[in-house]
Amino acid sequence: MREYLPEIVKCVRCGRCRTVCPVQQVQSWEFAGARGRMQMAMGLASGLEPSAGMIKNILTCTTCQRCVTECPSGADPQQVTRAARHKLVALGHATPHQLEMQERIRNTGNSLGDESARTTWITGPRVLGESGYVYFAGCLASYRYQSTATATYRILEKFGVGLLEDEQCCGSPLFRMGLDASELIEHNSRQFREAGAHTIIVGCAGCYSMFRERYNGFDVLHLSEFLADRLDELSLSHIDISVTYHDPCHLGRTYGIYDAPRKVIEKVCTFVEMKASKENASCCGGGGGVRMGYPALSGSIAEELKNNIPDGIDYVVTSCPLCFRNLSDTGVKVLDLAELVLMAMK
Amino acid sequence: MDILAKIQNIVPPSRISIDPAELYCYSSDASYIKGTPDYVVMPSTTAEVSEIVKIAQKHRIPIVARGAGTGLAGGAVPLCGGIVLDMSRMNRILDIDIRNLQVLVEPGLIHADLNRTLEPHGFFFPPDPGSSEMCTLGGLIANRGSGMRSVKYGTVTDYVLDLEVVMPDGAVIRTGGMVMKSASGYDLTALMVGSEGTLGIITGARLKIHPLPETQAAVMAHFNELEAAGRTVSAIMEKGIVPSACELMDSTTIKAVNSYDANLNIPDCEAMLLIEVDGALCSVESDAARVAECCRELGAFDVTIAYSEPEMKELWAARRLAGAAVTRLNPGKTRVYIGEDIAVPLSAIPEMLIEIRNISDRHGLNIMTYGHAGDGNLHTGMAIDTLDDEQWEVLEKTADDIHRAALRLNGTVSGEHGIGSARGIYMNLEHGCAMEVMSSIKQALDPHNIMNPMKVGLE
Repeated sequence: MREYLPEIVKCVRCGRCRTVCPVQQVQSWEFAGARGRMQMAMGLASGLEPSAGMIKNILTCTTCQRCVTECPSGADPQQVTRAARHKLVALGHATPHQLEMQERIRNTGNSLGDESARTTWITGPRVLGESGYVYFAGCLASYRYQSTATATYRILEKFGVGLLEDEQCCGSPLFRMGLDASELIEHNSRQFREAGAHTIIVGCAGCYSMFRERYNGFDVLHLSEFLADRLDELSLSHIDISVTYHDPCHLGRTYGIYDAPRKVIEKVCTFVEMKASKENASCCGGGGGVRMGYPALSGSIAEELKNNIPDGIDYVVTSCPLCFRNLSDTGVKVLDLAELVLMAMK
Repeated sequence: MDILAKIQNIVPPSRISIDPAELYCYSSDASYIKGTPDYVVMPSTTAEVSEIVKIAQKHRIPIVARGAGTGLAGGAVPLCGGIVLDMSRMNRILDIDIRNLQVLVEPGLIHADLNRTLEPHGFFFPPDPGSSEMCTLGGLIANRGSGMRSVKYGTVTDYVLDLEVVMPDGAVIRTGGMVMKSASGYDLTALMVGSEGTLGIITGARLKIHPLPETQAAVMAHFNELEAAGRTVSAIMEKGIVPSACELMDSTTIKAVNSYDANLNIPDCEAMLLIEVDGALCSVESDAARVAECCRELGAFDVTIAYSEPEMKELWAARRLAGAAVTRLNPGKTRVYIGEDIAVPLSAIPEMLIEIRNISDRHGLNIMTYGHAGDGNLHTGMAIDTLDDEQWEVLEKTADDIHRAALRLNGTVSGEHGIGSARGIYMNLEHGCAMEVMSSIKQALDPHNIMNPMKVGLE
């Protein structure tokens, strides 16, 4: 961790992150927030022995990026936290849930440990990426939200977008949890090359940020970006519903994709902003391995987010299956952007 | 029964920590002062605080209250170990009593949350620290804080009507009441405000609130000479105008603020004054024009008046975080809060600014200067490579010179951040024999010195 000291000491401990960290909002403790994690990383770099508390608190960061965008001194607590996760694993402190994730992916190629085929959601003919555009469905859409994968593909196949021969997990869960994702990166990269892909289209914010951050040699577009430029080609009708939009952290705050999903939504139905949105959007609590490792905490963060939902809307639309899952579990009616668009397609 | 077991009889295990890494997170606030507790406890009621204090008293172990840990002098750092009480769960607004112009709050409430709640009622709590978004009211009161609007609205002292305090023996007292004034007995409220947890632990506060002004205007005046900006501050006051804020920013601060929010695009110059006037529209327009005229007379260029709320909000938000933002200017250097809170008489501001420049030259360390010039409270900021021991030595000498210069000019070592342990060594120099009185009060109320020991210049 010593190599991260220059980044760690950028934190002047002003506490600005205390009131925006979703975990600290729920748990209040100093060690539950970004400043506490920076402090623990400093300890780790200075010889403080890892303890149960350190491991837990380093792992409860949802990687929402809010501390990074709010930090007045320009520190990056998220980068430091990720490094601390890798360090703790390297020191032999991987938790059971980290090891389980590793095993699931190693055995099945997906983060859910599902042994069935990844492509059972494909109902029609399967097109390989001749257009140079490839749809990467991701684990959650492939196995848990197959209607989202189907809807996305039904939209995209009109544009000649293909699929990979053998898609596997993008590696985001491993990478975010401090584990090694290099084999998956290599596997999927090879698949992209063999498919002749120049652009990967994803419907998952987690996959999107993983491709942007850890893969090289391909352009990446979120479905919303791809569609926002092609709205006139979609023959969309107006649906008589009112929706709000939840900005997934890894799409909005991390990569600034705010306008594209709103442009798509406004084309097809009535749109109402969340009470806090875009760079101030609340985290759903699902990211960073928190949903898997600390489900009660993850659920509490999602419950907090409900305070931001405006009254009188029919659905919360989002563009990330992990956000979809965490919000749905609180009883909120959630709709994936692809399903909304498909509803509006004539 | 050991101490941990006794604490567990009062609060559930989920609200106690003895994990070494978790305790380590409580070993500092925003200052450079360090000290690790043996236990961190998160109480949720006054009764719990009282019972925990009784345990500390019985076992003669130190007990330190902590709000958001945004203090800049080590006030919430447990120098002698013991128990840290994290008060952040006690964050409710218990009563908003507009008819009596007051609110009743718990100490862990975030300052900005109070004002967000009061705004729809047309009221606000005027003390306005830069750390509004994160600091707690308990911390603000215990450190006698204030902020940017104290030039017109005063400090937190002027707004505390009553405190609920757990005393060192666990007894719970109230120091005041609901009345707007009282001549009844010793002013225990004033004694507790600024006592930094050395006499008792604040568990509730009844605070005076103020109607929101009808409107505001901000005058931005740029100067090619820092001292001219300093002279302008007292000139404005001499004209009989009382601005609601009067902030000075030197060239380094301007660069830091621009780097935090590029939209602001403040002109590159030696100094800027940001002067806010508030009140009824007619008086605000007239006062803003007079302030602008005064600035021009004293050599300001590019003097503008802003009335738009979004524009002013952005400017104030960036100003609030200027202190931390200086770290952005040099990636290898980090802002360290030390010698950052002196205050001098208004007439001494230009001289103090010259002193700071000379000190900077003498030690070869760049010092940014900003702050609430309207009440003489100047914040200085220095950034160093915190991994370099030699730079720390230079930093400490520089801060020492700043403190001593302020005292020579009849100033104080802390205008609003408190003494903690960072400034304790100057207390005898600043207060002389009065320190014996402070020491006697401490001895009388906390004879076993369990309440936040080694703070405020006391043993």
